[in-house]
Amino acid sequence: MSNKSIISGALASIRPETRIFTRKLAYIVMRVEQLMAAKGWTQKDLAQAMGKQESEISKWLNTPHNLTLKSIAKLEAALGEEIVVIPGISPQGQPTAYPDLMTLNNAQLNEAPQEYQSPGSKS
Amino acid sequence: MTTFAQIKRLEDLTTAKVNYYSIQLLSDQESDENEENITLFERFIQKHQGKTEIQDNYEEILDWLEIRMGELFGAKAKYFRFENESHALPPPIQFLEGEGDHTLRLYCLRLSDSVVFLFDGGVKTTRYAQECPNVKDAFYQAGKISKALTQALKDGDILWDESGGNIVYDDFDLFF
Repeated sequence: MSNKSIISGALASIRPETRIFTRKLAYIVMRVEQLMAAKGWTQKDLAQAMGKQESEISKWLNTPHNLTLKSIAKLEAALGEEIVVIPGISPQGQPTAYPDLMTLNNAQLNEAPQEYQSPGSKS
Repeated sequence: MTTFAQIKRLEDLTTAKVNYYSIQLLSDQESDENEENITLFERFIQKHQGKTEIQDNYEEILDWLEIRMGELFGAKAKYFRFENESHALPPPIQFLEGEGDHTLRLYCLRLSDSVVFLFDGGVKTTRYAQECPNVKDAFYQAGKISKALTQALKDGDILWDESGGNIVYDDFDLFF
């Protein structure tokens, strides 16, 4: 069996959720660092804004698998910008302005926005 | 026993960020070890692919090779475990998610953020690799190969290219 097929076959066997998880974590960290740079913040500044130790912020950014949705929400609140966007629903750049779920009707919740394509779908 | 080997670039794994290489053994004695003419890394894949009990660990290592290092961050030194003369993956525990044991080991040699040699490995069942029947052969082999590669760099059989991001070498037999 050639070098090409053994390795290609192994890479093709990686489950989609593994790839999605790895990439999304990386993009979340990149987005946080982008927002910090825009504000001219160091990790220390971000930690202070969040009332946390710098070591905790460093841990989040260097080992992002420790990030929970709650910690992402705290980061969004401190940075004042969205990190994770939900297509068709997320308010533009204002993480605290999510619509009340009770005000969204079923059509809004179920409708897939035109521009959104789920991971793995072909364009 | 002296073993001769050749360096093989892993084209299907190499990315813009990381050049991956492995070793193809060419034993100087009659041996059925390398009937298929595959590299040590391909042998690692064949040994562990499809084994449900270690699928998570196996996939984790491939994920680090292809995406986290190969696509995103490069082969940073902090992602590698030190194993005497060589290195090992997966990365140290602080970089890993999941509560389970991360016992599968892929022995390797990290030369830089952009050049990594991949060897063989196995499921480590003891605290020290030297004592584990599954991995001790691969561990010692990785150490010998790593010493030979490091020496080849010193001797000029392997050189860094102009950019310093990859190695260059003429066909030569590595022996260890």
